[in-house]
Amino acid sequence: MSMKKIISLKNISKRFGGVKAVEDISLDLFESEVCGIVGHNGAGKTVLMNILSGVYNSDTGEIYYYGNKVNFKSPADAKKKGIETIHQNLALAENLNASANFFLGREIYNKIYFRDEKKMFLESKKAINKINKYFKDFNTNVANLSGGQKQSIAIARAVYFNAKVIIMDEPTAALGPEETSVVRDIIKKLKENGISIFLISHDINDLFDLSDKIAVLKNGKLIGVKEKLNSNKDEILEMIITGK
Amino acid sequence: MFKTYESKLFLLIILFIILTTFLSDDFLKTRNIQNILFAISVEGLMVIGMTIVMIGRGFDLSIGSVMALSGVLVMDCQHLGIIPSCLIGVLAGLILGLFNGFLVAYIKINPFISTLGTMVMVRGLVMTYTNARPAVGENFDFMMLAREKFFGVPLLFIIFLFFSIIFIIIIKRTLYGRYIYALGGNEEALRLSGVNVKIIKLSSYAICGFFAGLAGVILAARLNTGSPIIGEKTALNVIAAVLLGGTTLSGGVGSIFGSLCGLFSIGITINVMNIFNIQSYIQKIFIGILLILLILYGKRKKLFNKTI
Amino acid sequence: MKFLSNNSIWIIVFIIFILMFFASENFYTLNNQLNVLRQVSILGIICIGIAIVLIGGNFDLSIGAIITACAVTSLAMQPSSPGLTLLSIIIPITVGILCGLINGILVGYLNLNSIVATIGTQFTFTGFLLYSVSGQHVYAFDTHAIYFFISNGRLFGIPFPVYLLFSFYILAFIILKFSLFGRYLEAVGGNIRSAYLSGINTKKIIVYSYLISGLMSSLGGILIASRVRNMDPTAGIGYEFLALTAVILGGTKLTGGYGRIFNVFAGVLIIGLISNSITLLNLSYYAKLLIQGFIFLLVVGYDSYLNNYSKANV
Repeated sequence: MSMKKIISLKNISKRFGGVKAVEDISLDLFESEVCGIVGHNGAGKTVLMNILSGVYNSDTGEIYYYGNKVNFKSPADAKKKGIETIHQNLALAENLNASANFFLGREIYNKIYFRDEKKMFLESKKAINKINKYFKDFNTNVANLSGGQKQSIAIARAVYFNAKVIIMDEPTAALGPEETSVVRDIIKKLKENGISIFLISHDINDLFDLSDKIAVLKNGKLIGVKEKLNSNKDEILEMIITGK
Repeated sequence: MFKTYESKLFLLIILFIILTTFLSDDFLKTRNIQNILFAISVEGLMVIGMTIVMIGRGFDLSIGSVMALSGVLVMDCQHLGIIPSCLIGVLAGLILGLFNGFLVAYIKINPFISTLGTMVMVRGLVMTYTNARPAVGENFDFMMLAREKFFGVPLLFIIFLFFSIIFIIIIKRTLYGRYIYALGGNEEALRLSGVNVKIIKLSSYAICGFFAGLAGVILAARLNTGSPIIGEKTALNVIAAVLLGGTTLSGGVGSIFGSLCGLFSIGITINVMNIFNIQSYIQKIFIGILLILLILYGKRKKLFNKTI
Repeated sequence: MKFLSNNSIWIIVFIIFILMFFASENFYTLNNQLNVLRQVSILGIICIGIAIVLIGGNFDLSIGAIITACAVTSLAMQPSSPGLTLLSIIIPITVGILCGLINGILVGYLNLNSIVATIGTQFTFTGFLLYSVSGQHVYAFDTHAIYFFISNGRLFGIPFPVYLLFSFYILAFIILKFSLFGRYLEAVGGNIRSAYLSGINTKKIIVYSYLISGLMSSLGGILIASRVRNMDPTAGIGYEFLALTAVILGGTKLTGGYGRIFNVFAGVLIIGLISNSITLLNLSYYAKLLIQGFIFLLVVGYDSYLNNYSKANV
């Protein structure tokens, strides 16, 4: 893990109506680092990451990317800069097939806006098979695929578009043990390739295995950030529950 | 070859036509065919627009009123010339479509409800403007143009064919087409992919309005009258055609070709009912029950079984 | 404070009431007030049905057809004697409930989209109606005094329909606020899945809501029939639209799950007063349509705006 700071969130707050979803959170992410994010339901994990993804604008605070202040106006904006997100609900259109979803919003097309289906199929096949070599059903609608297959598409998509930062929101929540271990291997490989990851998970074991540090959120506030090597599962649990 | 829903429907139509030809002498008469072709031209244009809206999980009840308005405008503005008057009619449809799209995409009103509102409002508008009296055309050249035929095929039908082919290609092969399907399939996913969902939605309604306007122009041209009271049950016919053609209310599936097949089926059925002198009330019942059966079928059918 | 904001619609009623001064000086006479109430009584009763269906999360766009069908049926009984008058009340009510049952089954049991399904039934009901009367006007010759009284009579100086109006609103209020049905209806309209998982028989609740709507529509039809005593079956009274506007004006949520029947009454009053003033100002029927459509869009737009922009502007 290098000392190069990729992301710096400073004093981020966001409220929805009367509810403070995220309150004055500051958090850094370094190159090749996996930062776990954990907390109760409603603690603000997804909202915080959605601000980084460009889904929401923060009410206060700044985001620094490679040292420069940035303002993401939309998900497309964040993606262009190299921040990819694997959302909790995967953001897949069930009525489209794998390659259509893979390239959604970033299709390959010619001068008159006609889609190049062949190229998109080949590229997506290559990328998805790199993640999941058993994936074959490229022509069926995503609705008919298993949770693991859907997850493969979402992850392959995030990796393919040259992400420097990947946000994973509960990536293994709907997966079985074998598929989960595939995801874990992917995360480890990404780390080796210099990619930084924010990993939201409720699985303490996963977090401890994969993260370099863990940030605990409660009621929109950042309770604390602990380096894995300086902490243990019980301490993290205590932080989640008591908020100290 | 006949695996998809659309091709099954198409086959059914061919069989139906053959059957009817045997049952009745009147069916194949040129006059009857011309009537069918003309009815299809008008409603077919609206079907194109409605399919696009409905694939995107939208809905537009106002097309009948818009059609009436544009028809009236075309006839009233005839003195400005053929092209300007037609453009005005089409433009009216486009503007109303944009208005509908604005209400749905930006104000986020449920499309059923908002287009119900515009349907009533536009009807009131056109009735007030014309005082419930039809606008009769006086331009002889326009009348002749409307009846023009190329190798026996009416010009108006050619216009319809032209737009069908163009939009079938657009929906099937371009970026925009993909976005419409994604909009209906999972709007949130499309938004997260970075696409401006509001614009896609707005444009689909604009296209629907455009076609309603164009249909109104064509209808008025052929009848040489802009009638403010037409189109009361057009929305229903068109929606039934689109549902028959494989689109469902929840969107994300369907095709323009399928919808046109659906329109064809309903059109021929009604034509046959007319030939056999079935009363219009029975026809009303038929369409009502058909609509219900169609949405029932749409629910039962496993969504997303076909690939797009 | 909350009570005031929830029921703020009555402030608008009050304002319009004051503004009516500009429409006509005779507005504030007791006689005219009673007339206005009589005029809105039909719409008011129908709105109870629409409101109940809407609270349950659905729409009923077939009420126009049901109203016409019941009005025609009522007249077709030729109520020239007390016995026939009874028939001319009971039969239409049966028809209305039957139509409501059909709607209820389609939406409640078959889970069809209520808007398209009731558009479909609207067409089907109209078709059946036109077929049975062969498209002809229906006249009731020689109606009995009792029948005439339904719409045109007065008790202690107050028009009879007004009694019906108030009775039904009070009844509806009691049912919605205090009965199990009212509670379950709100649950079904709010989140049908949660209601179902909580053990509520959502299908039955929806069917009941449509039965009530059919009943109310039939009563409206009988009132109309009693007043005009001849019906054009192709008239296609566009009541569904007006009723929906009044109900939404009255604070009932478009998405279902919430509605207060007395506020619906306020909505009815507003629509009635506006309708009244349009007539007084001598605008044409079509201008009325235009204005009503416009008001509808305003009302619905405002409701959607409130709904969608109080959450995160995503």
